[in-house]
Amino acid sequence: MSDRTTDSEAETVETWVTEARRKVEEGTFGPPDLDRMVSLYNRTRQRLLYVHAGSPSIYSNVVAAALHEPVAGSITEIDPMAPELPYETVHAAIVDGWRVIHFPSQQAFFDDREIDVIGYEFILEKLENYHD
Amino acid sequence: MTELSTRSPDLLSDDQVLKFIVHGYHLVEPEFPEKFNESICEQLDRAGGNTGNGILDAVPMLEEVFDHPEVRGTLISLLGEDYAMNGHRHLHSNEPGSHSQGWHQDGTNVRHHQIWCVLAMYYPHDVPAEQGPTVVMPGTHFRNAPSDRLQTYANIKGQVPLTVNAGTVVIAHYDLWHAATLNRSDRQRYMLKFLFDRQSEPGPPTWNHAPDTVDEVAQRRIREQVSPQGYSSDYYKEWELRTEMWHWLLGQHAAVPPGAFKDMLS
Repeated sequence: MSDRTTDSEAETVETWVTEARRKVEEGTFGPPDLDRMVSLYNRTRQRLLYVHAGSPSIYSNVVAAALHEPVAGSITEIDPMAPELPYETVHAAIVDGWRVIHFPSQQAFFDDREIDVIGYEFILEKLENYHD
Repeated sequence: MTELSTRSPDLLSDDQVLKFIVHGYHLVEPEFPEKFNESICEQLDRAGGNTGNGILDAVPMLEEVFDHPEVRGTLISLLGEDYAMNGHRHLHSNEPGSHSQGWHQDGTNVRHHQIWCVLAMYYPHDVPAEQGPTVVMPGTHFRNAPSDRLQTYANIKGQVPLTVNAGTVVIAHYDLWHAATLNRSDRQRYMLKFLFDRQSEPGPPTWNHAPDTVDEVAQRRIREQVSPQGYSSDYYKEWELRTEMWHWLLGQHAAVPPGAFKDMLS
């Protein structure tokens, strides 16, 4: 099983660059530092958050959400004991660092009588470090 | 013949029928004789595995569940006096450690805004939230959405876990979105799903209809906010679809045209 590491727990690109600057100034920067950079890059995985909003606006209320973790065996499911949805709006998720990679089409199929699915689907991603 | 099976059916009121139309389900909590539900659980344990449509032969006491006056009264109210039990039925055993199903509507995606079939889900034991309750999404029986398109949803605002007492029978419109959920407990969860079919077009109301008060009740229920999308375009379309189902049940078989909600505003 893989675990997600937060910025405070593991080396990030920013901390690597700070360290690299110091080593360059000291003249101690070398191939092992480049290897660490590659390793750091390879630990990055894509978390996905499917969000259904009340309208195609990023400010409309979120009506459904499904978080998918990039971890083997991870399952996303309906939870009868779940707390509130993670964000009130797509905008709130963006403020928290999520990037929108799929926007609902404003020109989606329209029917003046029937109704179909609930909400408008946004797909968001967040790249974070994982270690096995 | 038991005392219960000879009692007159407990028919629904206008308000209960309208609430079913808006929400898509109705909870019946019949009182069964002492140890009745426990006895069914023991028989289900003995029957073991999935008996498919043969569950009624394996556990004949289940007939008494659907003969209960409150259950019969609900079925008569929604399906007419000549309703019939469908030959298909299923024991859903949700085992400890299970994962949730995806949201789905049963069957194929041929939808209408009428009531020709209902699911009757009987729970022979208490179902707390950690024991894998069925979850339903109110109002979704009007949504013409193939189950494949529902698979990117997980939790939906307003979903209702059916955490019920032993003996509860949930009567749901056949098209209502539902799913079994993860069972965190160390006990299996039983649910017996039976189908009941309407045999004929609605005529005069088969429930406790009160013509003097029904208009006020209908006005209130038809406008009820159920969808998590709030006051959206769908909300006003729902008024029309609910009205069409209500009129149909009253024996008025004319479609409600788009835009008719404006006449309901006054």
